[in-house]
Amino acid sequence: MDAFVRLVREHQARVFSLALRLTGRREDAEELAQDAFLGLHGHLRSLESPQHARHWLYRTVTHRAIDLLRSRARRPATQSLDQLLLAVPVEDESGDPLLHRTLRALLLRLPEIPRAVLVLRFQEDLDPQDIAATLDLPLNTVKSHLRRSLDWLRGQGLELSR
Amino acid sequence: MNASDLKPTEPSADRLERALRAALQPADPGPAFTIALQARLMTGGARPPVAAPSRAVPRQLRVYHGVLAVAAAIVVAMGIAAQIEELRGAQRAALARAQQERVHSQLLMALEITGERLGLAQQRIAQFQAQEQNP
Repeated sequence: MDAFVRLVREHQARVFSLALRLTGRREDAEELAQDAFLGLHGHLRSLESPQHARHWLYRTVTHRAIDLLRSRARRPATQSLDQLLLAVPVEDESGDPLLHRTLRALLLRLPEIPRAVLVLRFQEDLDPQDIAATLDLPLNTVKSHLRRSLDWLRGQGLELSR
Repeated sequence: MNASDLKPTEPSADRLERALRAALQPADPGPAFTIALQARLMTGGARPPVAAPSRAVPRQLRVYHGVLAVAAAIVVAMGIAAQIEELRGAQRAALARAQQERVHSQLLMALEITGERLGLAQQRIAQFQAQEQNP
């Protein structure tokens, strides 16, 4: 139980944030993250290392979030940016809150897979090889999603001068 | 993975990637998350009950509500029809009673008239008999 509590303390913010950035809804993120930790609890004996546990958690929560998004009838991509900005959960942050909020809202306009690629790359700092392993995608597909998603974000007229 | 794949090729790309990293800082889920997780762990993973969204009424429930509404409408309509029939029955009974009373009073009047005439006829017969006995 101690090992599990330690894993929860260590990973809960990252696992929850991953689910939050993928789904865009706090309630969904809490449920997905809790489901992932409960699943981890059942797999504790089979985990070989802390890295294995981390990979298991990221993989589980990402795939479940993608499944949830695909099961929804209304996709965020059909909403306007203004609607998304209002819907994006408020977070405590420093720097440029409006830019950060706009970026998170724009992420929700991306299809599920490119969104997951960007979040794993820029939130979790995973390299494309690890992203490919997490999402069960070919490496070149991950690189392609990364490049095209960044190009698309650059084309959104963001104020990045600061 | 070639490291050059991820290196920014222009300053704006670098700024965009820095902005993305800043925007995607991990957010703490708060103490409620840990408490809910502990509770689910203790109850074998069961999710806490949540109220069903008002718009997401299951189809079966919608059909059930529809059937209930139709049944209620039929019961109300039957009640109204029964009340109307009862009123009509009462009206018919009142009319019949009024007619009976009218016939009864006419009979009484006829009897009265007949009684008066009979009395007059008896008086005349009595007068006629008296005249014959005492001419």
